Amino acid sequence: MNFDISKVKPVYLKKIFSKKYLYPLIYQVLLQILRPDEIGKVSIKFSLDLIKKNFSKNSKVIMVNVFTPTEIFFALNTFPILPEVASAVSANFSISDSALFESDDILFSKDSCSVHRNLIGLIKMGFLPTPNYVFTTDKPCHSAVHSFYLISKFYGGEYFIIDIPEEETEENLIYLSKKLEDTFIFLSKELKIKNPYKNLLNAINLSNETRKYMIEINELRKKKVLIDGRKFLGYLGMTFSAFGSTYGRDFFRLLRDNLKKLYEEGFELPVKRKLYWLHLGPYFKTDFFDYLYKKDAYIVFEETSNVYWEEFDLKDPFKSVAKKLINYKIFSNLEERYKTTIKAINDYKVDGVIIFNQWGCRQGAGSSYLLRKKLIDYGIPCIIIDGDLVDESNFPKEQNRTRVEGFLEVIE
Amino acid sequence: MSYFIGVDIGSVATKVVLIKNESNLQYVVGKISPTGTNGNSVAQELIHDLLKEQNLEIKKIENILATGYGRISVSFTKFTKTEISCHAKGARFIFPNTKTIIDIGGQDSKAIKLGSNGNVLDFVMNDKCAAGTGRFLEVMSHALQVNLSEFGNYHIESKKDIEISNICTVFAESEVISLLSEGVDKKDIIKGINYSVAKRALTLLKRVNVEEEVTMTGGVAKNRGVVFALEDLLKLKINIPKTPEFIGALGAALFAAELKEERNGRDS
Repeated sequence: MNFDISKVKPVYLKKIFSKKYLYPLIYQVLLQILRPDEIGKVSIKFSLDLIKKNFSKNSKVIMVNVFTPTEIFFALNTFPILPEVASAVSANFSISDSALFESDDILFSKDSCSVHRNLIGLIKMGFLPTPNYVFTTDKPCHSAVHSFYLISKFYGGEYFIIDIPEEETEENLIYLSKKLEDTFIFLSKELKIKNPYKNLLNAINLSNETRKYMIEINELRKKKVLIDGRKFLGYLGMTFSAFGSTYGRDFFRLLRDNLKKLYEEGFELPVKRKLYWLHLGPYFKTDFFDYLYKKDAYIVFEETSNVYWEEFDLKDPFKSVAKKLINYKIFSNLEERYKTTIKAINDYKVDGVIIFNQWGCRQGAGSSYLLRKKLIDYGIPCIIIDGDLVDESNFPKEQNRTRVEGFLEVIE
Repeated sequence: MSYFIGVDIGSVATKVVLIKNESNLQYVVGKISPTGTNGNSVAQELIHDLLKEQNLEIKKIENILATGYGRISVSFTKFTKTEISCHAKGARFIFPNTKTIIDIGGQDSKAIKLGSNGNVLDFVMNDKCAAGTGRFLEVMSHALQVNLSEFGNYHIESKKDIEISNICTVFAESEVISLLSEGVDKKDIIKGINYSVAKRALTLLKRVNVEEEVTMTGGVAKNRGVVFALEDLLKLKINIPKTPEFIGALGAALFAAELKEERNGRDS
C-alpha cells in the first residue's frame, strides 16, 4: 500500500488526531500496514500517544530540544515534543522539502541548520501543534536557542533557556540543578500536578532502567555484529525522546532481549569492514547506506549510542541530571568526541570512521576536519561525508557514493 | 600476450586505455570522447574503435574494469573501482615514487595520499561545487573567448598578478567580465584564474599532508598555467604525465590486469 503522507494537508491530520476514539483504530491499521515486531509496536504506540496527548483539546504542549532532559517532563504527566526529531521524521515522510521552502521567509539563510529551518516550516504548515512552553538547552546545539525562540515569537509558547555551564564544578552543578528544579517546580504549579516529586522518582527510575538496557545492548554489540548500526540512527526518537518513560524502557528492554537471543543463536552479520559513525545520518529516503552493504561494510557502533553518563542518584536527581548535561560527550567539543571515538574504535574493533557533516551544524561541522586529522594521526582511516539530515537537495548523491566507495577501498 | 582495458567515464569525458602484458605491463593506446548523455554507449564505441585500430578482437581482452562517475551503469563489465584508487594506480605506474596526487577533472578534484607501497592512505575531494575544477576553467574560457589550450601560454606571458577573489564559478565569471570591461589584459586575468584553481587544489593537498613526489592527473593538468601556479604555491616540482587525462583509465586497466593475476592465483 502506497500512502504518501506529504500529500495530506495538516488540517486533516489535526482533525483526525483530535478524535481520541480513532486511536485504537489507527493503531490497528498501522499494525496491519507496517507489521512491526514487538520493538516496532512500542515505537508506534509511543508516536501515537505523543500525538494524542499533544493534539487533544486543552492539552498543554511542551516543546523541548533534543538535549533537554525529558525525564522532568514525563514526571509532569506531559509528553514533550522534540521538534528536531519531528524534523527528521518529516524528512522520512518527504514533507521536509515543502517545510524547508515554507521556512525560507523566516530563516532565509541556507547556512543555518536545515533541521531547524525545517522545524520552523513544519510548525508554520501546521504539522506541529502550537506550544504552551518552549525549553531548550544552549549546548551542545547552538541553533536550537534561535529556532526555539522563533517558535515562541511567531507561534506562541513561553520560552526558557537552560544554560549549561562548561565545566563540572560544585558551583556549576548547584547552579544547573537549581535551575532544573526551579523549572520543575514552576511547571508542576502551572500544570497543577499533585505529588510531582513522586512522579519524578518514577521517571528517574525508568531512565536508569533504560540506561542499563542500553549498556547491555552495547556490550552485546561489542561481542558480535548483531545489528546494522543504521537502525540505531533511525531510533533517534527513542534515544532522545523517551528517557523517563515506559516507552523508552520497554523499547530498549525488548531490543536487548532481541539482540541477546540473536547472540545466543550464534547469529552475526556478514561484516567485512566495521565502521563507527559520528553524528546522525540522512533521514530522507536514500540508497546511501546500500553502498556500504554491497561491500559488506556495516556501522558497528554510532556516536549517539554512547552511554557516557552515570546512573542517576534517586536521592539527588536534579544534581545527577545536571551532571549528565554538563558532561555531554557526544556532538560535543573536539577533545571529548575524540576520546569517545577512540574508545569506540577499540571496543568495537573498528576499521574506519565516518563523520557525517550536517550542513549548518556549527558545533559539529566546525571541528570535523580537526577531528578527522587527529583520528588519521592515531592511525584509523576516517572520512567526512558532507551531507544533510533532512535536506536532500544538499546531499550530493554521486559524489558521496564515490567518497564512501573510495573510503571502503582504502580500508580494504 | 594478454590485453586489458580500463574505462574511465567522467562527467565531461570518457577515456579508454588498452594495456598489454608482454613480460611486463605496457601502455598501448588511449582514446577519449565527450561523455554526453550516455557514458555506457560512448565507452562501448571507444572500445570498439580502439580494438579496430589495433586489429584486435574483443575475445583477446582478458578483463575490462570501469571507473569514474559512470562506472555504476556500465553493461560491459562487472568490475569497477573508484577513480580514487584508479588515479593512484595509474599515477604510480608512470611515476613510481609518487606519494601525493592531485587530480583535477571536469567536475571534481581530489588529493590522494599514497603509502610507500602505493596503497591509498587518505584522500579528500572538493566541496559540493565546481569551484577549482575543469568546469570552472571551461566557464572562464567561454567568458574570455580564449580556448582552454591557450591558457598555459597566456599565463606565461602575463607580467601582472590579478586576484580572482570569488570562489563561486558564477560569481567568478561576473568578476572576470567586470575585469575585462575595466580593460585588464586577458593574459593577467587568465593567470589569476589559474592561480584560483591552484589555490583550491592546494587546500585539498594540505588536508592530506603533501609529500614528494607529487603527481598531477586529470585533464586540467594539461593547462600548464595551473601547473606553474600550483608549483609556485607548493614550492616544489610536480610530475605531469604526457596524457594526464588517461591516468584514471590506465589505473583501471592495471586493476583489470590484477584481476587476472588474482584469478590465476586462485586457480593454481
